[in-house]
Amino acid sequence: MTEAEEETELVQETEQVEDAGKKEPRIGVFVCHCGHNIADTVAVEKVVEYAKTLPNVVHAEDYMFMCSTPGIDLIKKAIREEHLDRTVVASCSKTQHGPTFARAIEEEGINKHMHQQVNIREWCSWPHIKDKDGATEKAKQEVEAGVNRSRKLEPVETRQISTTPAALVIGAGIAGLRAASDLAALGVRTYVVEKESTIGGHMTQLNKTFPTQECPQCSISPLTNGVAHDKNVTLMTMAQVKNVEGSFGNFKVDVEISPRYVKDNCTSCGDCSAHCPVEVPSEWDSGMSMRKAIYKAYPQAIPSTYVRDKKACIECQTCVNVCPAQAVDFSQKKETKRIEVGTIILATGYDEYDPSEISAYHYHQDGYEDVITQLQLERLLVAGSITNSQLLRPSDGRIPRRVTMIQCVGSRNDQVGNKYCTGVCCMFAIKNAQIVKDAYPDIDVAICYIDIRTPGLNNEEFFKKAQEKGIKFIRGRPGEIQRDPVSGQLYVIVEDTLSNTPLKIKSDLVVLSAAMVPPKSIGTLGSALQVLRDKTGFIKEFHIKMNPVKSSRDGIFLAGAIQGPKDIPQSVAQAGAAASLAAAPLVRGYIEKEMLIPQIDYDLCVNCGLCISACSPNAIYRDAADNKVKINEISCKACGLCGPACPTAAIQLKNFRDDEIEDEIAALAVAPREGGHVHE
Amino acid sequence: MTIMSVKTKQSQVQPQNLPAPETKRQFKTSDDFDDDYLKDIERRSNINACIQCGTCTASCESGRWTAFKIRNIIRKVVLGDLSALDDPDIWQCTTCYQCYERCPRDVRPTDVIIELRNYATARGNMSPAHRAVVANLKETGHGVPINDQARQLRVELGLEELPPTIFKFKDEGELQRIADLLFNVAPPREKPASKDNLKEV
Amino acid sequence: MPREKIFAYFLGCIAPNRYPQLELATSFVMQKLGYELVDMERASCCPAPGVFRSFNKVDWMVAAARNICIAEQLDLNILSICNGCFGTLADVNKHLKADEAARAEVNERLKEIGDYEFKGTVEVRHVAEVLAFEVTPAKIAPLLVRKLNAKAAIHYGCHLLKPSAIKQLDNPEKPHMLEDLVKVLGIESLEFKDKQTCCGAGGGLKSFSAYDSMVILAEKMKNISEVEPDFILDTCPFCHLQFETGQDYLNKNFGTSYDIPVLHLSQIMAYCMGLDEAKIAIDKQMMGKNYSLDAEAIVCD
Repeated sequence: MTEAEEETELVQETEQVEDAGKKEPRIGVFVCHCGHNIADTVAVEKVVEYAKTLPNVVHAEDYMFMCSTPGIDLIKKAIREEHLDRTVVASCSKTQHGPTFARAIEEEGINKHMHQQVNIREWCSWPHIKDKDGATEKAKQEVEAGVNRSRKLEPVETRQISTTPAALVIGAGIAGLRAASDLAALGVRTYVVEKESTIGGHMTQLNKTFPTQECPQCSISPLTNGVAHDKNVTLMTMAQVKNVEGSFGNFKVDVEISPRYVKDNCTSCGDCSAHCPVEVPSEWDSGMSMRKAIYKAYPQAIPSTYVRDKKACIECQTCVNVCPAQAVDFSQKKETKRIEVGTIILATGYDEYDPSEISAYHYHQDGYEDVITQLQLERLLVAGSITNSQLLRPSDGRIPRRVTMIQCVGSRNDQVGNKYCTGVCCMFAIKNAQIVKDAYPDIDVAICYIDIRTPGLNNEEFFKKAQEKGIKFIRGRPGEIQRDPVSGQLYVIVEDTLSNTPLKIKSDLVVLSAAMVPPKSIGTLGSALQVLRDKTGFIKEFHIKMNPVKSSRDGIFLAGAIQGPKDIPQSVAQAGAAASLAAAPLVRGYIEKEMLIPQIDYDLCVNCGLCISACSPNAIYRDAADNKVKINEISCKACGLCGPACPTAAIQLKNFRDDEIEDEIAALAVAPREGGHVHE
Repeated sequence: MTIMSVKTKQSQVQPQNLPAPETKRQFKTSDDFDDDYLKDIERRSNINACIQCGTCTASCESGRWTAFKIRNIIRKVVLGDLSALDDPDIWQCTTCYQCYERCPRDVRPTDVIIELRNYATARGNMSPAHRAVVANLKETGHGVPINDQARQLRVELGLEELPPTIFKFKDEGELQRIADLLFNVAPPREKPASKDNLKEV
Repeated sequence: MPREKIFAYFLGCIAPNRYPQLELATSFVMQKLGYELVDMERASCCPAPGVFRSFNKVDWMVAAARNICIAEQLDLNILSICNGCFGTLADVNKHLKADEAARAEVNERLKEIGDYEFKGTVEVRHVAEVLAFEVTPAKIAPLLVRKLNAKAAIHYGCHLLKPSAIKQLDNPEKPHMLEDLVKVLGIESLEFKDKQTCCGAGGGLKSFSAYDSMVILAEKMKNISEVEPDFILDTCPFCHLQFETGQDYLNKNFGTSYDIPVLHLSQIMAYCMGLDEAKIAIDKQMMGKNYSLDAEAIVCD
């Protein structure tokens, strides 16, 4: 090779190296006074002077409030004039103003990941307020660390990932129906998956709703009918979500549909039920009446197709023979459908607490048939009930002379039940007490309570009205419900704390205001969805104050009591919020993802798979084709756990590589150089 | 002159049996409260969690028949009300544990009563009957010592006249050591509990 | 490691010093079941949880720990026949095993009394739960020579089951361990009002105010007598004493005419296992002197 050819080759090589982007970084350092917060403790000018001596720092200055408009302008000016390609701001925390500065540099054409935030307020000036010299030295170290980190930063692209234009709502109670309705109104194709044979949830079981004593069936009917017939909605009842794959924007959900054993041409005439010889307690009626093995939960149920309870059925086939539409079909099988959606709303509601575990109240024990829950009371009083809406005692069918209600059953209890206050029982007890008193003025109604909690505009008035009707409010939590073994008479043993009087209240009917607890199935469903649960079992919201609608998993939102006990208006409001959040990425058509993902050096990788186990969003997998470990760029959440899991350091998260972090720590481990750095 | 004599007559008639006005005070002031004994009991129980729901009094058998109201006593202790220490009602709890079992805040009221009684005992508030039980223990090693009727019955049943308890070995010296070291109770106290005499515990 | 089927026999006060027939009956029953009972020489009052714990909790623990040490030195688990003794010994045993600071404090004090050091090596048991759960009715049945045909008002007392977090034997609100146990003896349990309430003796109340303790008992006797039991069945000598002296007191002061025999579980168990009615010594008690246990002999093939 001639000398000229060698030179050309060298130049080409150098160009290639340059083209590879290995330009020397041009770092701008900006030190903020934050008014007195930083500058009173840290000598910011000294920090600026020190920063100027650091390699690759081509600009350094300080300012009173870097986050202010003039402050931001200084940064932008420096970027333009000094051709900076990355910034370090030493001020408050990354959470507070990291995004502010990142946005500012992006406006000047620099990728926002090229900003490094250094916290010299919460981490320096505030904790060391008495040690000015020490704080200044520490600030210098922090800035040097930040600059070291800044040097190796790489731009991170933000990718638009298109979303599947459909949403899934799990649960068709009031929250799920409202969410589905709102989604459908936005034009979003919505799947509604409900595990029961009917939609409407607990609201349809209620007799009346507080504070206006409206009929809940009437209130919810437009929604149930609306959702069932909406052209944008696919309603699946008898259906449960079994498995969820994919990630935000593109979920693949396996739904298992149990057979009704009745075809869709069912006219709901009821002949099958009338002739069925098997009777079992009706779950929908809270056990207050019986239903047949082939049944419809209640007359206005949607869908109106009947359903066969295979477990109770004795397979006599009477229903098959009697059905005028030949709709009964024992051969139906369980199906699994796979649906593809962009977002999911979880709205599976609550269960009523089972007070059996509070032994002193003897719920469900022989001889205590007249100890019932509020939901059971609703089922007795509702139109068309087993007692034809009359208030009759389960034990002997007589009208009670006194009804005593007990609050906080399974709530507010550190020993048994749940620690939390359900927050709805005061209102529904007061509601039911008024209904009883209005219909039966001669019945003595008493409510034993610890506190009466009626927040909300109309609710205190509701409470006062109840008092004015002569309902007795006894401030005391009953110790036990006693039963005279000979006469069967029940007594509620309570202290009226306001008058210091222990009472033995003869009661013909005792109604327990039981807590709202997470629904039984939430364990398996929560695991399938991979959402976090609170220690109470309800699904945990993303942020207790600022985001009660998002779950711990991107793309899965919460609506209604599944996120914690609440009443109907709260559920409806939250459902609207969930629908809005769930619809946004679908309507927009894409989600934005910052491609901050790990890279794998296959020369170091020994294919042990430990990173796969460490990855909680399951974003690392082994490719069946070449058996190599690869990363699902969409699912990766950049948590970085794969890095330490790897025994050979083969997998490194971009901008968080081992060498980058080591550089940062290096500056923190030694004192700032006296007189600054000297450039060779 | 008539007026003067009436006045004299009136002043000669001393009103009897009227309680002094200062004893009629219904309200309490900070002199009636002390945080120290409260903090001590707080450390050894869970009284601060009490929400005065009344489950305890509702469950209390003694409270149905005596003046003992456990909920009120707990309230007094939480407030640091010193009158709880002199209240004879705290001795009417049978330690049946029903309140303890049912309290939704896990206050463990029975334990509070015991702490309160320990405090009261240390101040000398101990009934003569209880002093006698302590005397029994010190003399015989038993709260309920053996009597002649029982000795006779034991022999009739074929048992040893004296059971092999410490009373049988009372001359050995250990019983005396127990008597000297344990349950040395303070003498009865005249004045009701107040901030100054509380410190003497 | 304490051996099986042998116990250190803790007598307490009221059984040996007032109702020795309870002491004897228990020995008889345990021996029939193949257990050995070893005397706990120099044991004292447990001390009673109602009186002594109320006066000074630490001194009470020290005295209780001393009793437990006697059993530890024998390397035997303790068998108690009294709810009160069980309440003290079991609760203190559990507490000192768990709380190092308390243990250290107690051991410091014990040194001044004698060569005692609490080590936490033994368990404390009550004859009722040993019979109900360790022996079980199935093993008791073959040893019975008599079967009753009686209706009893069963009184659990307070310290056998409570605090339930410590005792962990049965649900104090609705227990069934005794009912299940005595079925094998031919005893039917009667449901009566306020079945689980206290007899009124405990907590130092019987000494502090005998009258108040009797007021509480009066209600209990009213409820019990309403169901006309053949006898009252208890597991605690103090409740036993309360039912005995109580019926007498109520009769003398309030014109009642109670005469319901009071039987400890051991007495009735011993009788069914063959102990002479004379040794059961109901006639030496205050109530039911003329009561004759009506039993059929069980004929073995």
